[in-house]
Amino acid sequence: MSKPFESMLRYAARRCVVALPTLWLIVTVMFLLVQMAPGDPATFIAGEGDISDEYLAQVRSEYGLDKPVLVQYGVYLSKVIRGDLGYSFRYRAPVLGLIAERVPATLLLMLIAIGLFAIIGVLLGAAAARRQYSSFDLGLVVLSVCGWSIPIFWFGQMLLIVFALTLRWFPTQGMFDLRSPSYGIGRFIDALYHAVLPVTALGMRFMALNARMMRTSMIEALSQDYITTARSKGLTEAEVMRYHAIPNALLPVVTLVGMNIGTMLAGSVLTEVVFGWPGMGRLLYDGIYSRDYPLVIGIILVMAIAVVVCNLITDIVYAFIDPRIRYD
Amino acid sequence: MITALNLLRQSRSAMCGLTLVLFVVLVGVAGPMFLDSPFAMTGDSFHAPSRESVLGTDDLGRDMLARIAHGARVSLIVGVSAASVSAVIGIVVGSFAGFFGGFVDEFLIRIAEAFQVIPQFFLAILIVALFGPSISRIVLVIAILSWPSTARIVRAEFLKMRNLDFVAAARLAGANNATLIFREILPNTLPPMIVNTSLQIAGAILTEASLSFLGLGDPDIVSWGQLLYNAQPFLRDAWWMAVFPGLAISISALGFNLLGDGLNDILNPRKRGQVR
Amino acid sequence: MRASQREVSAASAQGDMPLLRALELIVEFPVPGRQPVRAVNGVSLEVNRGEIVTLVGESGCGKSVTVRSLFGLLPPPGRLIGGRVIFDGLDLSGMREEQIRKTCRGMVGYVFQDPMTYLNPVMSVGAQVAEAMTGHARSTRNPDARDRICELLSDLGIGDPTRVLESYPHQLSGGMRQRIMIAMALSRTPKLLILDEPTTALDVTVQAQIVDLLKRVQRRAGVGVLFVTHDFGLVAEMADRVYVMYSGQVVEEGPVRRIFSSSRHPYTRGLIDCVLTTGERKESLRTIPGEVPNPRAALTGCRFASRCLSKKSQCEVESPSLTLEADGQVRCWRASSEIESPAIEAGGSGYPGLVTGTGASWGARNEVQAHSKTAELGRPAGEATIRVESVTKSFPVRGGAFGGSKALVRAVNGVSLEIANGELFALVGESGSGKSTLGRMVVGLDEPDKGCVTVGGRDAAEWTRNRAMRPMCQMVFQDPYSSLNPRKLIRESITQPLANFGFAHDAKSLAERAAELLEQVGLSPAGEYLDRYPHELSGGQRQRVVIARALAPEPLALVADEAVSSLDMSTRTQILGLLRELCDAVGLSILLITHDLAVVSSVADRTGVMYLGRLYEIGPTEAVISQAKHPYSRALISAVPLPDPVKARQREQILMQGEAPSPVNLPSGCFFNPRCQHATELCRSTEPQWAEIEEGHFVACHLYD
Repeated sequence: MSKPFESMLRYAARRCVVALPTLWLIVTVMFLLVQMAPGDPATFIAGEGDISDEYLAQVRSEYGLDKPVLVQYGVYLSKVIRGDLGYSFRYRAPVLGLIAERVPATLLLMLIAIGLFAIIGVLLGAAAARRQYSSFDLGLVVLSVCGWSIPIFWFGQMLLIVFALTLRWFPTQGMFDLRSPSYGIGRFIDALYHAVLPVTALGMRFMALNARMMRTSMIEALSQDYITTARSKGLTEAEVMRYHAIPNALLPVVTLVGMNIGTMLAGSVLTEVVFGWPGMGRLLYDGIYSRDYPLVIGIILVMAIAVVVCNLITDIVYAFIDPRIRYD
Repeated sequence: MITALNLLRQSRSAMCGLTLVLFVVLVGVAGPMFLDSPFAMTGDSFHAPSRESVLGTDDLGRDMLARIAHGARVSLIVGVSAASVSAVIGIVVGSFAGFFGGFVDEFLIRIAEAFQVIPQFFLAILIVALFGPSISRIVLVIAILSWPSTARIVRAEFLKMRNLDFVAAARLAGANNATLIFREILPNTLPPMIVNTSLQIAGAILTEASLSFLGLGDPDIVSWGQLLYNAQPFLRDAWWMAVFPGLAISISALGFNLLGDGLNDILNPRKRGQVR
Repeated sequence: MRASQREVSAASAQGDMPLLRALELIVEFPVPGRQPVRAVNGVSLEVNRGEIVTLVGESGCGKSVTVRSLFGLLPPPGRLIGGRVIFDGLDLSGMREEQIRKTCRGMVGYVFQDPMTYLNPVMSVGAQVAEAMTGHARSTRNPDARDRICELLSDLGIGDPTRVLESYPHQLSGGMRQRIMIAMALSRTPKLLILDEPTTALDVTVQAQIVDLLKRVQRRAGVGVLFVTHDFGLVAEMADRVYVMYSGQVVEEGPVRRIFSSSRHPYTRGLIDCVLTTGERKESLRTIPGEVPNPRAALTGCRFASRCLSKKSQCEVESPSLTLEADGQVRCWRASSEIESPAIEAGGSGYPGLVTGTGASWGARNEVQAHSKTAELGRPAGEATIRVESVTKSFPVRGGAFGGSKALVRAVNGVSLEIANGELFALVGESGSGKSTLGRMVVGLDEPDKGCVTVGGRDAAEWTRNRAMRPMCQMVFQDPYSSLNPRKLIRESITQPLANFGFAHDAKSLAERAAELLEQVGLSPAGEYLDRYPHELSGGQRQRVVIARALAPEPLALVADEAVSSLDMSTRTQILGLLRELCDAVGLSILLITHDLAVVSSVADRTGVMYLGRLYEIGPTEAVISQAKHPYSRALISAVPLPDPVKARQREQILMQGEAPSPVNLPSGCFFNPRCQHATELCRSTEPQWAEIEEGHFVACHLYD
């Protein structure tokens, strides 16, 4: 095992250890919020609506709601650790299972949006920085500030009105057509076809953010002294960009993408609502609508954990590309 | 005031932003004075934009223009108050952490970090869902979830400046800690703060709209996000119910974002190539 | 001179063409909404094969921009808008920047000022050298290229090249990084080396190593060198021929000996007159009045006219042109016999001087005493104002996964010294020697871990516990750009201490006292400065304001921490003169902290040499500089370039090996032992004790046990 790799691993392990208290904090905050909320905690666990008194009593004893707060906290923690997020009254199924069913759909949306649009944004930003003050640069600056200001869900609605309802190029709702094959590549292609509009709605905002950030960071990198050194070696301008400016300019962008995973996930919730995309966001929306509290709390816990994990991954990726962190 | 305006004129985006913001303020202040109540069912339902109702009517026959003008008020109030509360918390926490350093810093910055790692939008959803929606609660939630970024900016500036020689000089000139924090260092951190506050107003407007769009808005008032929530089932039949409120959100967010960007260009000009 | 391309190449074939010829270069920096700034205004220069040419001038004169413009490396938005460059028989004019760089690839090597910022932080050092050598960073994987790089690095005095190849810039020391830059510059056996202030960011002992290395490399490879510097010492050490630049123009050119012995332009003469020489206590400090003009200002006539004592009416109207003379060129209306040096005495009643009258009331308290040099260890004759007793200070360095402290930087390790009334004591050392930490403890900004510091008999840090108390010692900081609050008027900065310590209460008396103080430090009339912001003043003026503010609470002592090192040569002596006057006329004790031995030998009464937080030698300045005893002091003094081309080339330099270790891992025994040629077992195990060599001259070294 080489030395850089070893120090890399040590760094990753250290970051993982640091992430644990954060996860604990999130679980605790959620527990406290439920405790503090007005109303009977039993209804938050069972859900509101047509619930029998026996069921409420069962919930009370299962969660120790008649016992001191600390005991309740212990029960809650142990349940979360075992993956028991409660039971959805509306769907009559365990919450964790419901969420697991919906994860792939959300993941598909997120991965395409991040993979495609974030990269396009970075490239556009880099290109604009090279031609600072050109009309291309000015256009990108204007577009990116607009893209960052337009709410995702409204942009989705507009796409829906124009491309699905008026032009009828794309389907309006859902992830699959009723007539689509139930397995195989055909089904996947159908899902991609349905994903075009939602991914565009979700990706636009992050393309704008990445383009903005990359442009600023690239302009900064281009003004650094080491660029002069690279030029003095007689490298072509393209080589200077590729080997010197872009690797350095990417560093803050990576941090930013990591920090915005949470915003991105929020965006995906909103997009799923607009396009009836059967992911976690749509599930959350249904949960809020029907006051299915165990479902809402469960989804939010899962999303919070996902965000912490994504931040962790970004930190490690960052250390991988920046030797100054790795060898700290 | 005049010098501030002259300063703003240095940046095209600041001027554009200011114009948009003033337009939204005008609509929010003057609109409700001349228009009907946003709850009055004045005409037919689903009336497309026409001479009687410029922006059309909704499913219950309420005038969209009146509703949007009222929404402007709500958005501005939410945006400005959330950003102000967040700025105050951020400045206090950031300046204390940055100035005193050591244990105080460690403690405060850990709290801020924890707040930042928790995905803010979801926490907001949870709080509003559990505690029930009300405009003041939404403002508070947004403020509580967004102060850490302000605190970090202020802290970074303080850390940078507290070791600068002019602070040591002021200490030697007999200044006490309060003078050092509020008279010597804080005025020098204002430029990034002003920029950040403007951007945070835009962010708060968007967050409030997103919450309302999920059906978590205050039911007693009219907000733009809520209008879009109401429009969602009728996209096929009444495009105007969605187009105009969304345009209003975009314009106000754009206004504050542009203003922030422009202020950033003016207040923190990038170093130009040095002439040696 | 207007040779066509063909003639150019024909001429070069005959070998009578210089390696580099630049003609009438003009560089402009566009400023939005205003006239562009012309940073370089018609500069022509030549470099012959194997010749070392220096371009010397104060900051802002355009020397760096000139060399950047030669081969398409101008920082944006700068543009070369006129002139021709002919390099090695190739006419480069009309080519795009990228094309120029490609054409001259490998033929021109660059070494820039700060190797930290000029190396890519996220690329391994090996990859960066490989890129310079072969054009591809990946060629470090090619064993052949790897061997060649290792050979080159060990040639440049890098001990463990295979390990260094793998490391990143932040893991290397300053000297190491600069060697990497040199390796990149030499990787393809260039014909021309461009050195742009290559040692300015380095400590003086490391500078000596790098200069020595550059000289050896140049001799061996026979390359032409274009060397940009502000340091006349380096000019004297290195140059064959010199160009002197002022405000974007060449004002004089000639062989190095002629420039030093009989310069013809008043500016050159003035600069050479105010150069400080180590080991020479000048009777009076000389300085050029005024400052370098702002390049944005439109100027008519000779650009130097406003500062010139020999000017005539023509000078202010008509710009002189560069005229050829027997050995060199000069840009001046006066014949050389008519020229006086514009340098004037810095002290006395002259222009930049000190108005001593107002200090009288408080001068009486600090009675001036002639200090005879009889003393105990570090103890001056007469009453000591500053007393430092076995002071120790360390700082925790943050690190580790949980932000816990991992190591201690042991900045000051047991220092004792005393400074008398009216004495100017200099503390010399390189970076990391703990001299600034000691200075901060003397003013009371930091408290010692062990030992104590008293000023005027009072604990120096007492005022930090009781803010109503007045600090007995004030500070003059290094960088006058950061030591004044940018958002406060000069008036506010100066009245702050007056009001806080109750020297004046009503606005009128505050303003009067502030004006008095400004006049006292030579900012006259004070009314012109009171209501300005710091950014409206020049560096020298700001430093005067800083001194005025320090004087406001009527301290007994001043600590001047590198107070002149960020100033230009001509301004530097003005400030030093002012400090000297404050000692002599007002009776202040001054602790001058500096890395610059020339500064020390020109003004200090006594000098202490610090290394890694310990004093190793202390004594009267003349004795310490000219008869240094400790091997470190000797190497330090020998490392300083001599501003005299004849002496500089005759003397034998002591070159120290390596660089100072980090104050986190201190060696045992004498801290200097790992770098000392004379180190014995004893030095490695036990700390040396003080020995008095002569009256008042002490050294801590086992050689003198």
